[in-house]
Amino acid sequence: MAIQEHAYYGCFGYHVTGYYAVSSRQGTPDDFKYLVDKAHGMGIRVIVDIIHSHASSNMTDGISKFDGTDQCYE
Amino acid sequence: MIFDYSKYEVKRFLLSNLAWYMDEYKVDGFRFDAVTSMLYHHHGIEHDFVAGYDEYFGLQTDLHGIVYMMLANTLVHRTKKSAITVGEDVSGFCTLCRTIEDGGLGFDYRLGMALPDMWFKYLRDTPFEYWNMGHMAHQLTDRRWKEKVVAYSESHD
Repeated sequence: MAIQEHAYYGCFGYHVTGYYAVSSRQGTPDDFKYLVDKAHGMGIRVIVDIIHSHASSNMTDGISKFDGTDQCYE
Repeated sequence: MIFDYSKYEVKRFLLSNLAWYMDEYKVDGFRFDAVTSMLYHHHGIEHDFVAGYDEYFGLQTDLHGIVYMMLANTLVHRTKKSAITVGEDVSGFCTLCRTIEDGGLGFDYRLGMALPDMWFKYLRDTPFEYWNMGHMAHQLTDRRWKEKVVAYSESHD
């Protein structure tokens, strides 16, 4: 399950709309920092599922047409 | 939308993204999703890999995608020496977990995706007395020489 922000819940977090945002469904950025701190305190390392192969095709809330064209990132 | 890794903006955007999660959230590494899609122009769609070298290295190989992953692994390990990267590749790409110095992609582990599939099929479809120990042992040990594999048992796929 990926943590980057995604508009469509059914995609399990794989159609990413906000690359730098922790998904608001799972809590706030501070909540995630608290989780990482707690895990580190217990000797557990945190590995994040990262989606860098594709992005959501959404034009208004995703990064598709980020600069107004469809040639910015794809 | 699929990224064009030949663009500097794409590399900046994605590399910065990794640095962000390490700097801001202090995460210890990444499990890179859909590495197969980043390796080939055909994205692994409708393609059955039979582990031939001509499948890995040819005009279908996305060299810019490979360079991106080498850069990403370099950045992650330079940012934190103990960081862990895992690559989700179903094509069996060789050099996935070899070091950058050796010309590899620099991942620490491959995600052993055949294993959760195997457990699922045995548990759901196969009566216990028909479990094939030879097949099971082969699946569990089928890996590239010295390549470290995350052998997990449950997958959301």
